Amino acid sequence: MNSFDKEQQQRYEELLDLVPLDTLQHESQLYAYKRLKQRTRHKRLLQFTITVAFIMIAFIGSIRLSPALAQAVAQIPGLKPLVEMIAFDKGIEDIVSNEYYEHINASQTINGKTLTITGVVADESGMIISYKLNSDEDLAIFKGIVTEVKQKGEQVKATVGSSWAAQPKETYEVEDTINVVASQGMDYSSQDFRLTFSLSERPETVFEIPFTLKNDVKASKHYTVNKQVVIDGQRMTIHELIISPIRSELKMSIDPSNTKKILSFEDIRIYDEHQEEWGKIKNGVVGFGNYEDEQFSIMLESNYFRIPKSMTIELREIEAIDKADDFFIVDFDRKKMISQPENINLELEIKGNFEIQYTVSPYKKNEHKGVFSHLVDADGNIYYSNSIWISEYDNYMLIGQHFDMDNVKKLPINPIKLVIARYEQYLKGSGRVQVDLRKN
Amino acid sequence: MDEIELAKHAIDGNEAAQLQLLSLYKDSMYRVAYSYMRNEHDANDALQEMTYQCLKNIHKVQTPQFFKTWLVRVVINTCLMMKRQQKQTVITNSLVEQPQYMTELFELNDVISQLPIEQQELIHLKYFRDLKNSEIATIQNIPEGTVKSRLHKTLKKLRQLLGEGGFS
Repeated sequence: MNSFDKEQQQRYEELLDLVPLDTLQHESQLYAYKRLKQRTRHKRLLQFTITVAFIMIAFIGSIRLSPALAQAVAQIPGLKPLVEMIAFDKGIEDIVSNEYYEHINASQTINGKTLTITGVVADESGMIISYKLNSDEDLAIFKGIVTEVKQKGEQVKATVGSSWAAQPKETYEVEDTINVVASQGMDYSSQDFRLTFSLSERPETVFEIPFTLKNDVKASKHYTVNKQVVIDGQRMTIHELIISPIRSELKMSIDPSNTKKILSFEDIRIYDEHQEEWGKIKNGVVGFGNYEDEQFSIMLESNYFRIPKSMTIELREIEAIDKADDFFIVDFDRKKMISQPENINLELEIKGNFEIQYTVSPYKKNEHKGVFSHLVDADGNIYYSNSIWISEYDNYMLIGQHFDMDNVKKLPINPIKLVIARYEQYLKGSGRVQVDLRKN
Repeated sequence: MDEIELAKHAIDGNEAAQLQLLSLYKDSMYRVAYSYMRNEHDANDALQEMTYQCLKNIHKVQTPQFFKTWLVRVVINTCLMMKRQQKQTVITNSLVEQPQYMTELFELNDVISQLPIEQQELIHLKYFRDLKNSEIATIQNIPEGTVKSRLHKTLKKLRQLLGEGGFS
């Protein structure tokens, strides 16, 4: 030891032992443990939902509702959050006007806060649980909620989605919904459920409210389609249309021998024989699976209560790139790009700590999306991008993405492929498929 | 069960063993943190942060024999990182009215802080090895049953803290 001699070492150790321990907070270590557990739990939830495309719209503009219906629903308590959903999903309007919901009115009060389940809409595709939260504290200080739905003592095999919009100051009551979406169909062999709910800043206050559905759950209608569509030389098949009260699900697949890789179906519509139109779900769960999967699903607004004679499915604005343009190859250690796809116009910069930054021309719809969803390392392991930040400038957007390596077993091995998930380039043309519903 | 064995369980992912092991070193971790951070508030924050980093990364320790070296590295790195962050915040008057020996401790720490990080680690590793009065000395001599019951108590406390059955 050059500049710290034996004597100094000894004195330093003596002095360290003199640091009083009465100010040591003994819970510090347990809090660290708690922090870690909450974090990994959050991660696990995130990974579970990774194949479920999810969109949340926080602000509600106006509600599209006929004046007569609006007046009718205003009389029914606990329906407000459901009515608000109509602004984004016309299928919900049918649910409300056909009174396909069940009043629950089960509540629990803990530490000055009361949570009430006001009603539930249930079908084979999932549930919409409406709730009301009354609080003794200003709800503006809270940033999120944690929710779980259990059945027979276990979490339901479904995605439980909830949103929490920033509340204005001096809000003491909030009404909203929790959305349960089951890709494999909801199990109603027991109609007893239990909702767990907590505000993320008050993890110690956990509401647990049991509720039982008494009404019959309407069965989904399954229509076999099995028709192929060819757009711009690319083949895709629509297999089945499943219509449930809450949503319709379109089961599709893409021909693996296509020359292009489909990135996104931006616009899908269904029309009935009167040219009335239903579109993609804009808020909530919008799909299941990946386009590379044998089959994947896209969610549409429901026309369950209409029973049209025929329907036309139209596929428009399909985002796609050449398969040869699928990925960039980079080396994170050397912070170097090894190869760039020919037809992708993007300036990529490799930063340290598995961060990348790039500029793209502004998206036409001003949408906020990252170009890359995941990376694949030399051994074929997949790592997802956990965070993305976007700055908008006059004629370009600067986007940063980070691949968090904190919880991985093994760091990725270079060279690494950055796989393109979204890019503004479309197939030419659109495709239509007619479905005769009477035959089914 | 000695410390090495406890470290082995901890590295293998036994959470109770991880916490038990880190609580053995709690006092020393806090004291070193205090020497760097110089007030109780930041020292407690540092203790929480270094525990967090340890729990998160303990599976990366290659053999139980390396545990102590690794622990000291985490402790020093956390202190240095938090001190860097501290620089950007307002300096409080927490330095007033420290006893004479504290001033001496901070002066020695100033000297240490100027050294390359490897030497800072060596100095503190020596301190961790020389620990006499802490529980570490006694754990070698207590029967395995006692260690197990302590683990059990730790687990129980954890469950209370987290709310029954939250995580396992």
